Amino acid sequence: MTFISADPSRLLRLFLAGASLSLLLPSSASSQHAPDGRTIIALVDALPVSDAKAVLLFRSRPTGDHIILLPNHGATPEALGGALAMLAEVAQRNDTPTASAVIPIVGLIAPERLSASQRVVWQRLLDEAARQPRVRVGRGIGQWVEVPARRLLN
Amino acid sequence: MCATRWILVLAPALALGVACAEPVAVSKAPATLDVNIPTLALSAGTVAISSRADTMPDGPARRRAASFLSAADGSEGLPPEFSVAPAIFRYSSYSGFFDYQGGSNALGEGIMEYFASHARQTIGVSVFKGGQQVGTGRGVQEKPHFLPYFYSLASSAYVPLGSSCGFDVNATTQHEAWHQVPMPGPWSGEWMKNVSTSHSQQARQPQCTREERDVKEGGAGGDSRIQQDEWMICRFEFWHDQYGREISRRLLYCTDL
Repeated sequence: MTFISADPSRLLRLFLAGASLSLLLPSSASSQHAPDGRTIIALVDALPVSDAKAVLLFRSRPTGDHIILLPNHGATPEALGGALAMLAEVAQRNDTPTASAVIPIVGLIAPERLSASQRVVWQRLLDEAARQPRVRVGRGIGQWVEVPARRLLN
Repeated sequence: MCATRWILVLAPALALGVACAEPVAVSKAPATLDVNIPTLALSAGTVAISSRADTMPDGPARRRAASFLSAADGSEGLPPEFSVAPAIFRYSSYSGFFDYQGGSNALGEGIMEYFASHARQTIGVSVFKGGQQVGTGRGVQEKPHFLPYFYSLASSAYVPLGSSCGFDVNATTQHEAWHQVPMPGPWSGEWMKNVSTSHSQQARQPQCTREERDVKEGGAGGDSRIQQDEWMICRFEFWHDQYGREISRRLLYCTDL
């Protein structure tokens, strides 16, 4: 094969080029609108904004994680799905890498064509968070799990 | 971390056809979660508001209002304007919609006519879609004058919306009027305050039609049902820098994503 019999240094360059490219490319096509960094769901005893159904902390300080705060009593899969949709939208339009946002969501209506399987995924995430030990979350107490957001936006 | 990247690093030729198979939740979380929420977020719940204050013109309305005034007890030693007790003559709330800069806005308005030195209107705006309440906000506007007189105050609160169909809105206003004397004494603070509340009727946008959805989707479709195909979310946004300093904020607004 011509490729194999070529100069070994050329093969090495090709290998390094492929390795560099693989690190630059997103790991799946669906991650085009997924935010960078960790996405965390936290069930908390009290939201920082009363009457909110969820509070999205985009690039929260000090870690830079994206955190979705939900009430540990009454959190719904729709509220989680809406917050994840909001996160994707904010990540897409934000062009200031150091800016953070606090976004209280006070009301939402889910798309009518939302699939039952998508709701099941969100409910499983809430269940998974609820199974975690209660720990300190900010200045309060809660439970949390980390989620790869791109797996939830398909 | 998906293993695909490491496979790509070691053997680019094997990358084709390899898929990530991540579970939904990737880590258990026994540790504490470090979150520092700026206090600026605590002012959520407000809507954009503006107001217009005027002196009531001399005429039948003012003469009718004057007939309801009564003397203020304990006003000895004050300017004569304070010898009349504060009063609210007329108050009401309205709701509706208006278009501004290509977008639709839900409007709540509170109006009052009063005799006092100070007045305040607190407007609550509630936004509904499909009969379901999806957003509430409140705005406060206060108007101080040095001396009591016949004044009117009109305050408007509004909520930007994502579309000009399918939303309903109503407004509630708390109207307050009182004397405030700029000197210490038994009359200091909000002296002889009057409080009244008014509610608007619900204003409705037209129902969304098939044509409006088709325009939004970029063409006529074969499905004649009206469907909500996007998230509609009511929220506030508070943006800050890495030091917690506010960059910008958006008060309550309800739009499709």
